[in-house]
Amino acid sequence: MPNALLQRIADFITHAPAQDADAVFESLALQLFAKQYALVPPYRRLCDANGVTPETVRRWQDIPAVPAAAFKAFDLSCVPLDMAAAVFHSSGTTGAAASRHYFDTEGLSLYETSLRVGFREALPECPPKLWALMPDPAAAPNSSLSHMLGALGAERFCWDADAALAGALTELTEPVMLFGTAFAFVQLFDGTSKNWRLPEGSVVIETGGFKGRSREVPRDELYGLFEARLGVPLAQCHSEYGMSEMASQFYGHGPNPEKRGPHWVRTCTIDAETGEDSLPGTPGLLRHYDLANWNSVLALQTQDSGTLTPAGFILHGRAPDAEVRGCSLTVEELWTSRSAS
Amino acid sequence: MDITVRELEHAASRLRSAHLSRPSQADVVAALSDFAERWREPSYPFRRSAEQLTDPFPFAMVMVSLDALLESLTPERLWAVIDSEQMRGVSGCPVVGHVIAGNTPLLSWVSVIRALLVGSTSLVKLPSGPAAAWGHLFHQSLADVAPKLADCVALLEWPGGTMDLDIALCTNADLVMAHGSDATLLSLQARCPGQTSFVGYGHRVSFGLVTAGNGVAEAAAGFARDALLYDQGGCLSPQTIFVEGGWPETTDFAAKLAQALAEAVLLYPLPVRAASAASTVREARLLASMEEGARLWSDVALRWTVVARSQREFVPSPTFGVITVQPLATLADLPEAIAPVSAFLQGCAVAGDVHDYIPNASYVCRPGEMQAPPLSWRQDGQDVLRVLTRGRQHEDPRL
Repeated sequence: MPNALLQRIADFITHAPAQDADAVFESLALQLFAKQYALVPPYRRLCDANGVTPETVRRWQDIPAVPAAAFKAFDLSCVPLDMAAAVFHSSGTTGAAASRHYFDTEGLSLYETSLRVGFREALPECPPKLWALMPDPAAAPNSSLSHMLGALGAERFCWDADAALAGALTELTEPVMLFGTAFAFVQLFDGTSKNWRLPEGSVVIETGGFKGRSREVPRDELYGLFEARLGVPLAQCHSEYGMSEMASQFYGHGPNPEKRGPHWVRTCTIDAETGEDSLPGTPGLLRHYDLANWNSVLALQTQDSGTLTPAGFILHGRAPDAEVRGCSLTVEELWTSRSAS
Repeated sequence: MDITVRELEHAASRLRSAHLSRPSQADVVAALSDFAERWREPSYPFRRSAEQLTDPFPFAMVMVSLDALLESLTPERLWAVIDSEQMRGVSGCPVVGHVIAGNTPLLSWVSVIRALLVGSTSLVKLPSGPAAAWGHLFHQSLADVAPKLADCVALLEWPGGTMDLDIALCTNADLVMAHGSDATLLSLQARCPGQTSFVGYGHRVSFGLVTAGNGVAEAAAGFARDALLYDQGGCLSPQTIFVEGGWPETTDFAAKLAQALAEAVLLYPLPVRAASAASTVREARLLASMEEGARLWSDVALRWTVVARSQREFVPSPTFGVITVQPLATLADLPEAIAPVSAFLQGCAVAGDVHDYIPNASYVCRPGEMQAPPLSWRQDGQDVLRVLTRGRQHEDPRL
């Protein structure tokens, strides 16, 4: 028998209420917080240390957020790990330093519902033919991105300089939606001098960074390449911003850094120096509240800087390291060194 | 001011000429001793200029390291360093290229002084940013004391990773001594042609140890200073402190350390934390609060954080004043506890007398002395002077 709260969240995701959406979101967020507080011991300790319990929280904004790094240090799961139906790892990291986001069966179902609805709402005009420039889910069972593209019905996964891709793109006769990581596109472009003219109505969606997998290309230049090499006009190019610690995604148009999330996600920005909400219009660290994070923690504190807009937020990227560093080896460097050795 | 490749080549050429008429080793020792004597004088104009420097760190912080370095620059101690490596009358490479790390104000001083002691001239890439001012003060003061020695030094500045200048440095020097991350060192080493030797000093970690029955309050005060200096960003900054005993001893010491930090932080003021450092500290605190059994002490200004943890293995820090205190059942457990970082270990301060238990540490001292290594410190376990002769060691009649 489906969990009643899960069902209400799924209903909220699939049918945004015309009225009182904020109130419904808040009610669902507070109930989900209560469940996660009760079932995720590391999260409960964080809340207790801050004197926060489900009895004391009245607004969704007051739900304590876990740092994204907590997904590396702890197993944040409402169910025992052996009951997890899937676990997704962060990319760009290896071994002990990788994030682990556990999904139980119910959570995985909600995740797939949310990613489909979120995608449809953000990109309603996209062609049905979807090709993914990434490993297929069977080859990368811990990649949330591959899982997502599988759930979206990608008919072809192209990875590691798929030699056939260049030819297949030439032979296309109907519009295609190419969804890939930025470095996968750069690898495609660098692997051949061929230029394509994809059928009219084709769409490009890029996500992620370069992660040392290809040369770094400035975002404006990358979108110029979509137009010049693939023949896809800028108006048909989009970006996706997501993370393995979060079930829902944000989308943006072209190289525009503004990202928009679905109605079951709320985002605020935090002044890193004070720990309080940023002043309106000023950058802060992005904090997301995602009702689709069913089995872990819905409130996530990122290290990404952003500025809120009426429709979403402007993504500035990782907070710049303004501090002058010395010769001390830090945790991150240590992990990297130990993984490499 | 950033330079061009041509200017760098010109500076290297000038240094090669200066090398031909360089002062004798005895003259260098005498000049450095004179230099140190002047710096010990509170009224020395260059010292007074240094006292005005606040960025990247206030003089009160740097003074701890400065005083220790100046103590090393007596004729007796300088000759002791030279003789300890049988370097009397031995000449180093003609031109040494120094690449100095970001926030260590006196690193350029130490690196250049070592080169001078073996008759090498120095082509120095100063760090980008305010720490460069310390290098310039050194050079100006050296020119005041011993102009011929100052002629053996050229200070240059350019943004790290500028390929053409990095290549020019590696090509024009006989030996490159670089300080930085593994990535920086690998990149520079790859740019050294076959005839240029390379000595790299990578990022390292250090820790503290409190043995049973030692003065806990005194140790806490010393470690508070060690951690606060340079905002815990040095390779000799303690990231974790092992306390011999069990959980009660650990939390007792952690509480005393927190108290000591609250007092010592007043002596070493820093500007308000920038966003990246502030978020790092906040994240570390949140993560600590999620650990079962961990106890946390911290300040509002985000300058220091103490976490008592029960883990046996070395717990690394994100730095910025985040220190772990952890129990060590017996001293015999120490090698196993530090095994995960033994390849990256730099120093250890010990409240007690257990030097034999610190494998791989290049510097062992008392709490409060971690940021005050002498000139004879064998950083990364490498020779102090002999490294400057790599591939080029020979007797020099002028030395």
